[in-house]
Formats: sequence, structure tokens, C-alpha cells
Amino acid sequence: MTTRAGLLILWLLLALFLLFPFYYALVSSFTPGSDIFNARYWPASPTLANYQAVMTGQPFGRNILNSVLVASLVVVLSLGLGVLAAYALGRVRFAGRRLLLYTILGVSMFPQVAVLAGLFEIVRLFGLYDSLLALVFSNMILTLPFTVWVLTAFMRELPVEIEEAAIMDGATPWVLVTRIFLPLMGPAMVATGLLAFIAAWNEFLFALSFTLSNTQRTVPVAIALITGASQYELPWGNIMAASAIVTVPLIGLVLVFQRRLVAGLTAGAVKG
Amino acid sequence: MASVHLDNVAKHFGTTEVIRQLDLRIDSGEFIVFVGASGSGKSTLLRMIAGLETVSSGRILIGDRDVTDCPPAERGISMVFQSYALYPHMDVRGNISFGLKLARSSHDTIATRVARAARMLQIEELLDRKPAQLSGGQRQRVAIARAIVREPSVFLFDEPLSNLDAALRAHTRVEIAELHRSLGATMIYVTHDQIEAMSLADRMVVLKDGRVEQIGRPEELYRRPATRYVGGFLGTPAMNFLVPRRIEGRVAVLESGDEIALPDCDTAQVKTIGVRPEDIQIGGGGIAVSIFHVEELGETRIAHVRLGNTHELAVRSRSIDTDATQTWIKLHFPADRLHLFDRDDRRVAGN
Repeated sequence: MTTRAGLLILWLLLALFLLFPFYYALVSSFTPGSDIFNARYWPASPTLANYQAVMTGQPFGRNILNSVLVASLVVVLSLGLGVLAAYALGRVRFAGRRLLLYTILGVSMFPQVAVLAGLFEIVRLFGLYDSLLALVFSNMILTLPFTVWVLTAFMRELPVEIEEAAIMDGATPWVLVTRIFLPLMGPAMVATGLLAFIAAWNEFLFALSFTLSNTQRTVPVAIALITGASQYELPWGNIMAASAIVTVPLIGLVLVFQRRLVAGLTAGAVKG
Repeated sequence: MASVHLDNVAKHFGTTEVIRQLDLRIDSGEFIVFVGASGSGKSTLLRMIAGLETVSSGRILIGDRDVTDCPPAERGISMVFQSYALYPHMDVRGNISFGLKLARSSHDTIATRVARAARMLQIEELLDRKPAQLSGGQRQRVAIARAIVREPSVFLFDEPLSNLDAALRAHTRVEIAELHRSLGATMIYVTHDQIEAMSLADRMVVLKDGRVEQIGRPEELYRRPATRYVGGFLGTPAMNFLVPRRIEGRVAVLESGDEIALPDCDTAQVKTIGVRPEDIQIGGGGIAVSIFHVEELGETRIAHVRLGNTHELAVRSRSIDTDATQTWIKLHFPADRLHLFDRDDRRVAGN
């Protein structure tokens, strides 16, 4: 009985620790003006003024759309390239396969700052500066390594005989990928796709460095650049409102895909 | 139905030879079993016929057609895999009809063929289930139905029974034999299980290290093994082997000094004498051996005996007492039941 109560307390503490910051941000976003500096755990007179200010003060709708575009494109490209790479790395025998796999993993070891200057040159070279494509391109550095790794590991777990049975049944490589591999890898793709989406959605440094104009910015940068009436004032209410707006879609996505996410992350652990 | 001709096929991975120069003609409608220990190349050979493995040299003909460079789906063959290899995300109907759909068969054709295959294998009530909801035996049936539905001229089986329990294996063995009779198709079957091979095969191909040891009817291989390996491979308990100290005319002298009369043949070549446990006779005048263990098998008993210090033999006979351990008996080796092998482990000419 006591262990159970203890466990419950532990869970509550953990939940408090995880959820309180978000809750406080939410409360602050509904608190008007300077009232925000009185610590409260419930908005005294809730108002949507902060939200209105965020949407009118800058092209925030446009920023959200940018983020959605960038993140979605990163997910699609990462999964597409990831599946093709996983097939090669997981199934085809060739010299240097292991080396290639570790090189891909090695890419994710470099801190973003280390590759920033080099990436900037490449972005300039392709004339992508201040464009969303620059962000898609650079975010893939973050998402591709783990996408390839997770999908390769998953591909290796799939029995070769299933693939051979399909070949005997007359499946072309295209049919093999679309009708056999994609359905079987669904859970793994949902998991890695979601992680890639979150990574791209939250990415800040590249977005700050490779875009200039308000209309090309993604949400994290837009929030960071929200300014008050003077340089001595930080509009906390607006920032909290913006944060709430951009957090909701992520929570929604995770909730929608929750079951598949768990299935994907634990895939291969137990043989079905 | 079609004949299959392996025309001097060989396979090597790098410098490792997996299949060495093999020539085999399989008649239309024949049930051929490739049997051998693991690493003998039997599965590789089957996969070469299937087209899942390339051929290093030689040709493969199905019917009169050279299919050496044909993709698997265009060879007119179906294959049943050891792990069944069902598509986990499709229901049974989807699994069975996948090949037909890819071949763009009409809906009517697919429906009638699936129904016929399902009826044949008694899986009609399972058609809407997923493979995960099926037992091992049911998955096996679905895998066979998937092979049948494409109406191939040659069926390939890669150890299809090895994942089933013993009782179900014996049962399914009979069903496969019935299936062969009713379809009349050519079947090529790979197994490491000699009982499965003996019971199913019209002809057996015993492989060892990528080389054919012997090809023939099961009884022929059992009665007249061409090599020592084939003799030892077929039969349980395995054939007993005696290595005599010397040969004097038509008599082999063992290390213990005991003598065994040999049949009329080129006895000077003899290096090993093989004799099956059931061919050894007990009693009368003969070689004295001590029993160290008796196995009760119900319909018969197996006595494990020591002959001198060098040989342990198995003797199969109903007449051995179970409490005969540590006692002595006399064994007689009938000359016409001996298998004589030479220095190269080949059957001695004239034996």
C-alpha cells in the first residue's frame, strides 16, 4: 500500500515538473498587460489580447505556415531518402557499407554551430539565402542520420524470405517498396517521421542564420524576435501566447499518433 | 507440369565452391528430394532453380526453355519457404491472391482460383484472418495455397516442415504426398530430415559439400548406398562401420582378432565394412560383444554393444532383453548384408 502511494506521489511530482512550465506559460498568455508580473496560478481576468497582439504585431500566421511547410517537407524528404537508404544499407551487400553507416551517424555528432559557416557557404552557392528551401536543406542534416539509422535497423529485422516470396510472386522493386516494405515499416516511419517533424519545427539556429525577412521566418525565430514598445520591455504575454500557439500542434500530433509511436519505437524488440 | 534439367550448373561465392558441376534431369511430374546436412548446398541449389541465386556456370532448363537468366516470376515456379514468409499486413486472401494480382489476372480468375486452393487445403474459413492469428500448421497451409494458386509447372519446397511439431510434421508429410498425386506437378523438395526425404521422394539426391553423393529411389539408396556417407546418412540408428585391421582373402580381421566373412567381390579394396543395425543377427556362433545399454522403442529394441576396444555398434532386435545390460551376446554378420567401402569411401565394385 505504501509503495503504491509512494509511486503515486512520484508520478505526481514528475507530472508537475514536466507540465508546470507549460501550464504557467498558458496562464501567462491569458493574463493582460503588466498584470503578468504578479505571480498567479490562475488568470484573474483572462483575455485574448496577447493572442491578438501576436497575430497583428508581425506576420505570425505566415510564420506558422512557413514552419509547417519546412517541417512537412523535411519529414517527407527524410522518410523518402531514409527508406531508400535503409533498403540499400539493410539489404544490399556492398563494400564499405559499415563505413558509410558510421559516417552517416558521425554527421549527427557535430554541433550545429560547427557546420553553420560551411552550410552558409553552400546555401549562398545555391542562391537559397533567405528562402525556406535553405531551411529544408539544412534541417535534413539533423533528421537524416537518425531516420536512416532507425529505418535501417528496422529493415534488417524484416525477414528476407518475405521479400523473396514477393519476388517469386512477381513483385518489381517498386511494388516491393510500396506494397510490402512501406506497410510493414509503417510504425517505424510514423515514429521517425514525428521525431523529424519535431526537430524541424523547433530548429532555431539555422532558421535564424539563413533567413532575413519577416515573411521567411519560422516560428521559433519569430518568437525570439518579438519585441515590445521599447528595447527595455520584453512582451512576455505575447511571447507566451505565441509559444502556446506553436506547442499545441505538436501535442496534437503526438496524441494522434501515440499508439503507433510506441509500436514503432519498440519495434524489433519483440518478434511478432 | 514440366521437366527440369540442371545442365552442369555450378555456383561459387568468391573462391568458395558451393555447388560443383552438377548435372541432373528431373522428369515431368516427379517428386525429387534434395537431402544433406547443413552446408551441403541443397538450399542454394533450390534457390538457383528458383532464380533467387545466380548460376556461376551451366544452364537451367524448365521444360524446353532455358531460364538461366529469367527473373523468378517468369520461370513458372512457386516456392514454399521454411518460415512460410506470409505477408504479415495482408489477410489470408490477400496473401494467396497477391501473385495473381501482380500478374493482372481478372477478378473472376482470382476468385475462382483462390476458392479452389482454399478448398483444397481446407482453409476456407481462415480467408479473412491475418497471418498473426493463425497457428503454425495453418500458416503452412496458407503458404502452400499461395504456391498452388499460381498454377506453376514446378513447385519448390525449402524445408517446409521444419517449424512444425513432430505429430503435425508426419501428418503434413502425407498431405504433401497427396497434393503431389492430385496436382501431378513436378516437385523439388529440400530437407535435412532423412525420414521426410525417404517417405516423399520418387528419387532422392544426396548432397555433400556441394557434390552429389548419390541419386536414386529411396529404397535403392538404402539398400545399396554408393558411398559411406550415404550409408551413414540414411537409417536410424545409423549404419555401423567397422574398420578391419587387415583383409585375408574373403575374411576381414578386426583389431580384436575376430573375423568377418566377406561377400564375393574385390575384397582387397575394402577399407570400411558397413552393416545396418537390423541386419546383424544374434545368437549361434559369432563374435562375442558386451551390451552396455538397451533402448526400448516399443515395436523393437536397440542394443548398444562394444566389440573389442575399438568399436561400438547398435543392434536392432525384438529379442534382446531390456535387463541384458552388462551381459555378453554373440553376433553374426551375414555376408550378403554387408556394405563394403574402399579407401575413397566408395562402394567396392561387385558388392
